[in-house]
Amino acid sequence: MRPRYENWVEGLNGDWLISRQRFFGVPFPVWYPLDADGNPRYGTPIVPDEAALPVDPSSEAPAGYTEDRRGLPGGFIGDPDVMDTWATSSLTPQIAGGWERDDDLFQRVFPMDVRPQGQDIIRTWLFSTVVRSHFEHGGLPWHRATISGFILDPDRKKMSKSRGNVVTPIDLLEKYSSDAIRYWAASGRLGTDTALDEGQMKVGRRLSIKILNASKFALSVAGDEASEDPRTVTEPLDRAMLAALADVVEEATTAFDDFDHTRALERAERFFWEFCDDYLELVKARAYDTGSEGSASARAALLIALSTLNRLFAPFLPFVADEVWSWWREGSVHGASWPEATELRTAAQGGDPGVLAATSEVLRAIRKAKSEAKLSMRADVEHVVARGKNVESARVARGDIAAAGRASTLDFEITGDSELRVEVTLPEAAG
Amino acid sequence: MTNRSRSFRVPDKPSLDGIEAKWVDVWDESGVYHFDRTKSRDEIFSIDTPPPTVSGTLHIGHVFSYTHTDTVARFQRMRGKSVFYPMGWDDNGLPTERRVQNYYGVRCDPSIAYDPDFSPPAKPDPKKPLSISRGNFIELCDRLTVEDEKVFEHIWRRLGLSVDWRYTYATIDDDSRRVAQRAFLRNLARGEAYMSEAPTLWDVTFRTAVAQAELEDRERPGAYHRIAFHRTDGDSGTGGGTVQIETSRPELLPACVALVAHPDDERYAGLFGRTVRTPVFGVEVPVKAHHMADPEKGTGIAMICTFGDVTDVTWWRELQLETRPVVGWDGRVVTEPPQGVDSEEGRAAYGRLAGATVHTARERMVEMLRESGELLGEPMPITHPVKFYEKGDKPLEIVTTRQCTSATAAATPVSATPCWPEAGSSPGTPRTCGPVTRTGSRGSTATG
Repeated sequence: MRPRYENWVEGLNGDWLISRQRFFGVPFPVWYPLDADGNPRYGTPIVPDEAALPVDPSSEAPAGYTEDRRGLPGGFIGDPDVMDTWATSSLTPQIAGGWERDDDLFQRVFPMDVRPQGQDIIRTWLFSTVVRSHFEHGGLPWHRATISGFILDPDRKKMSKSRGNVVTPIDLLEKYSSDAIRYWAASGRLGTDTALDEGQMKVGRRLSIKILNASKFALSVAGDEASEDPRTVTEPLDRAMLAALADVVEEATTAFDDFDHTRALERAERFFWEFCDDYLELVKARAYDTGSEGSASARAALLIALSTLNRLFAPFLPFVADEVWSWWREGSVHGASWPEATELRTAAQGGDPGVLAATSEVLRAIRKAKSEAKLSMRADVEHVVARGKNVESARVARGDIAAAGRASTLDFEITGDSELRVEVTLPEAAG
Repeated sequence: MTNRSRSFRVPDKPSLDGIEAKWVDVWDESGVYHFDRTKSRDEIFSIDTPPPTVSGTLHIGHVFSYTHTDTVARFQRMRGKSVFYPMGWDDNGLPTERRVQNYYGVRCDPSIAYDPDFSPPAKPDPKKPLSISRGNFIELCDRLTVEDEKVFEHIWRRLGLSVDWRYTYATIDDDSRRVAQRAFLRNLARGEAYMSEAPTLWDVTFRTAVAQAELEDRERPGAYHRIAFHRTDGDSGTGGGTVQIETSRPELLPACVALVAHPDDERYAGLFGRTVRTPVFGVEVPVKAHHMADPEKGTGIAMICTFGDVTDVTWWRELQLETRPVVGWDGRVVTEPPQGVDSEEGRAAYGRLAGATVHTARERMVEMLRESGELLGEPMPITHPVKFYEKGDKPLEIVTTRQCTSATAAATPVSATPCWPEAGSSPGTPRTCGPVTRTGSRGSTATG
């Protein structure tokens, strides 16, 4: 992208012609006096006082003349042209920022942090804005420019009006929900052409619905009496989950700082699905057993995680995020603070993300065995043996695995194997 | 974690239905996206939102790129920044004019007086547009853009953009006009903008000048015509006293002001500084040397006309040649022959071209060259890149007009290097996006 700008600037061979012989534009604030023969004296244009702006020289007379002198010898004429539209839009930072209108605002927002724009207007909008700011302020108008890619139709051709392959957004917004469309959009990185992929919109819709349902479930498991005090989180598996989440927050934050929204979304999304499929299943029995220390730990961890996930998704899925937030918190999630990895690490109290990984792996092996035997996930398991170097990581969550997998006996054998191996014994088929 | 509700209020059946309408209203009432202008610069994150062109419909590509910016705005807001996220509407310019013409079935005629009681045709017929005054035309532009802007705002809100809707502008509103005029006047006062009579790339359909940034090349069929010029020095040693050139624009022969070849091209070395006579019109023109002449192209020697293309402009300026404009603002050959076309035969021949479109003039010119025997062989069909205005459908012409120009080529900060991710880097590769720096100005002089 950047060479496009540099090549354009290096290749300039003429000045920028800004007159347009059109009507709906900003008129040049210039009049010309007419000599005794009625010829315009272009060399001595009349310009207005800045305080008189905006002016329309086609309908207003310059200072010192009356309108009835228009076009007459010794009178004046107005410049008939309007400016190139880029001559106005090259000043968007000044227009939006209140340049010379609201100096207090202007000094707070200019130079701006970011100019987002398309790659097709680098030589026009981006370039001309730099030029105007250079002339007027002797510096750049923003700190960064972020350049989006094009949207390609599903056949990966550029969409444009002339090709007639344009899809109107409102239909898609209504069909899949706004959050789903935003999910699809956020899956495209800056500077990368992206296909119009309704499959991704469906994924976004499924994710949105899952967030609603899983959040409802998590809140019901935790219950509104649950504490969110990090000191309540005592179980290794709960601490492990919060430690893993701290890593996610850290990566998402770094990604956003680098304008890589796609990576921030990917990390949050991946964690969320594992959280739903594994962690929620592993802890729900323990959480329901209210009154125990293990229950308070699980419930606190659930709420801390839910609050964090709500906020991680808020930039992408603002509707769903605020909907869930409103069920259990005051104010808007969009006014809440971005999650802090350090806070989560404190809550995790040295928790090891490896515990969540190993525990989940054992649970998945049990599920796989049931699924291969065509048994219900609620079916009982006779015996489970996990072997490997890091088997201790799963052993600390023995009770959760036993409950989630419905396993009556669990054994953990430390071996030299770096891979975790799980042997599942199902009961003899009844009858 | 102090903002917990006293009790959870979870609906029985959470759903996406109606979720947008509900939250758009809540956000609007709570002002959660309001910019806090009491914050200092380092507590603020400000965005130069692209103002969409409101004359068209919003495109899914807009939704795509505006969402990217919105995710960053939301992230920064949650990070504690006061986010300045305005919205603009780009409603000035040609796209709006064209939409108004089609929508209301009108066209602007600045010679007509303003009609305060005007109302647009009840049954617009874009094929038979009604001519209206500039003032009435601009009123229609204002009226339609306000409607279009409402539609856009509705979609942006529905998409969930966290714009502060108290900060909006339109590029045609009073404040934008004030800023554009003020900046222009300052450019003018500092000598960064100037007015001049100069050859200008001209779109004959829109009848407006076009800037370099708005050009695009399109491949078009054409033909090379081999044409004989006549030597005036009596030396018949080469080519029977003729000099052969090839051109795709024979209709510009009356606008010919010189022939040009490369200074190292030995075939023409003896001709530099001498003159030749144009076919049909018999105008005496100089033969010049210039390094931009391509010995490999055609016969290696070319005619310079005012003006066939941008190279002609360069040659004309650098070689300080005569001006013989023949194409008018309407894309037709002007009635009066240019100075230099003085002979009776020349003026008669010119009369056959006057008033014709460029296309027709070309056919007639070829006929005349055939009649005079100065067309050598048959025209050779080619496909070549031709310059178009990006919104136009006729090739651009170059005409001479009075124009305002900004001296960008002289003053552009070439090292101003806004930063963005490199296209084509593999997914997952970290991208750097550092601050912009400017380290110097370019010293070349303006040539436009």
